[in-house]
Amino acid sequence: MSAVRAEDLRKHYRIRSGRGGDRVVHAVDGVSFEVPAGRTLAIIGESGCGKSTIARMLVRLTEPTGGRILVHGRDGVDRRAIQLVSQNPWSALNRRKSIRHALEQPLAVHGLHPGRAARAARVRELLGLVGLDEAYLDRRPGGVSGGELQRVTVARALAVEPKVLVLDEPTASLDVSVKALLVNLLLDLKQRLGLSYVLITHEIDIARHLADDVAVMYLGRFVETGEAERVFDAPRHPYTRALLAAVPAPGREPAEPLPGEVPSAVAPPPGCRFHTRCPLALDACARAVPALEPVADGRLLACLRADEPPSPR
Amino acid sequence: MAAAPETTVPETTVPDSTGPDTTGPEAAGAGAPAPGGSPLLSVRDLAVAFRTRDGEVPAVREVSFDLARGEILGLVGESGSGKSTMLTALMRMLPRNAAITSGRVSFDGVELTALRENGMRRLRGDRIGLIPQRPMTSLSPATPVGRQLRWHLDGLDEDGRLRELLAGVGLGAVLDRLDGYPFEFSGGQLQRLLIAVAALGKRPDLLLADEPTTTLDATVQAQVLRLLLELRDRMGLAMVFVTHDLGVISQVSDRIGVMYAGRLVEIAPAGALFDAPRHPYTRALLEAIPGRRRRGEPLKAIPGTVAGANRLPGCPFAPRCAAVVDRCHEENPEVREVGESLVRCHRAEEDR
Repeated sequence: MSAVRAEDLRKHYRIRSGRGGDRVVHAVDGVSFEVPAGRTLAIIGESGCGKSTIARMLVRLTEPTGGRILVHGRDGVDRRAIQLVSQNPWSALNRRKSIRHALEQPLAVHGLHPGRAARAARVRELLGLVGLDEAYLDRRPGGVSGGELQRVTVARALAVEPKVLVLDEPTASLDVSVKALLVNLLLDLKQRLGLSYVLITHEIDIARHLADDVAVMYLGRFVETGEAERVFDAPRHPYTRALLAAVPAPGREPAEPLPGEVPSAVAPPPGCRFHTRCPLALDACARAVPALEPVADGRLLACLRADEPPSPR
Repeated sequence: MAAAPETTVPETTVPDSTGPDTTGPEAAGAGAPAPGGSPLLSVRDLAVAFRTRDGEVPAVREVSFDLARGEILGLVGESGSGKSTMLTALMRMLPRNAAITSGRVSFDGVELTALRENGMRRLRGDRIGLIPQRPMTSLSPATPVGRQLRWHLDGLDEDGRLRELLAGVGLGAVLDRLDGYPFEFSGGQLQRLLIAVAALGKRPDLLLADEPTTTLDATVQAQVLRLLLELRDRMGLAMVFVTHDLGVISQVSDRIGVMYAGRLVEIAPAGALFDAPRHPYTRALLEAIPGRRRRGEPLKAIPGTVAGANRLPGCPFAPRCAAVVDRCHEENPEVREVGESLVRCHRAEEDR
């Protein structure tokens, strides 16, 4: 059974605008995916593509306007089965409360480990899981570094023994050396606790390191999904190629930019949403919406020109 | 920007000031060419400290480097390493509770630390441009973008001047949208507008860029980096480019300086720094990048934290260093020349 299964997930936001009636933002527009138990799916894309909206829908901070989410086969809200780790640990924790309080809260809310001694023991255990010692318990977020604080939010997410963690840009606010520590912690916890991850990130190198599978998102839709190693080694969709080429690396010139800007999600372009910026676009791309369809090596691709042999990178 | 009140009085806080200032503030705007071969910017033993309730906290210490015309120096370091403080010190725009406590900064023959505020003001914008980290918060949200461009740039109403300026940063398409407000533009567009102001409007000799692409998406970032490189080639602009992103810095820099706890621990040509890093901190940083490991393997992290390192005697990296020896805790290493690198490490010459 899959850890997470999303079917035709949609989120449309209605925004009020004076004349001409309300407008609709198509933040997520028909996205389906599956995360097999014990695996990590990375959803990558640039700001505004809808990836964080998916994260929020998965943990039901936002209700989808269409589609279904199954967590370990079950429909409906189960906050113990799936938990969120957000990007910014400073805003995720109450500045005025101790770290002990942050870790006790989920236990109290869900009625877990009743009794003072049992609860205290569980809090210490949680802290140990993320490699912090008890000295942190009485400190407040203000006196703790960003990397340690992000460990605390991971520990808090683990308090209710979830099977799935949704990691929304977990390392984006951290320094290089601290980032490495958190990546190692996530690898280790997944192994030890048999977790599944949905990793939302714009940091390609982090996705590449952690993910088993990857989904590339552009303007509310997936354009390419598949086994991470295959997609990263030989991207097929023109957008995936542009995105991966833009990752700066030593000894490489900055990539040739894509023409134009990301179109508005209020009025997404007809046909393939990438056609306005695509170097390979044909007239047909503006008319027909390409379906996400399987290609030879098991990946799914939404491109009218998918059948053509991939050009060498 | 230039209108911000300035309270730093460096004249009185520079203990080793070298005699009276002979150039005077008037020479600042004259743009006298430097003698052949001399650097555009020369920083010597610069130190900056913050006054806090717990006394003076050093933020930058013993930083020295030269920058030639048309050269791009990348400064890389983690948060708290002092790289942004360095930049604001060069602009003499430090916050009220911070001051340059020693050292010299010479820009095209003018000693900046000895310059009066009105002389400094003449340099800012005109000869030293700044690109900020967040384009959105550097513009007034309540004023049309076109009007803000006019605040900073003279002669914009002349025929074709505005068109030329915007085309220079690849923004020809927004020419008819300049009555719009900042929120109607994307982050990449705003950053390119600010680059147009800083680099093309006044044609400065030196551009200081503080994490200019950190808030941008990867594809937009590539566009801005290409633009900066092109401006350098076209106008011979020199640049100090501050970032925490090792990938970005490798793509834009001629030379790279690595900062740790307020000190410049290594400076080397970009290729040499990545191929043969000499300082243990540089090595550790490069090894912590995910790209260098196989998928799913643990990354090599740096143990410990940087906290308090700028107050320690000896080498600030000693508590976290894999190659530490007793001497490192007692004696701060002098700068050594090893290969193409200038390194502050007692063991820099050893082949490890």
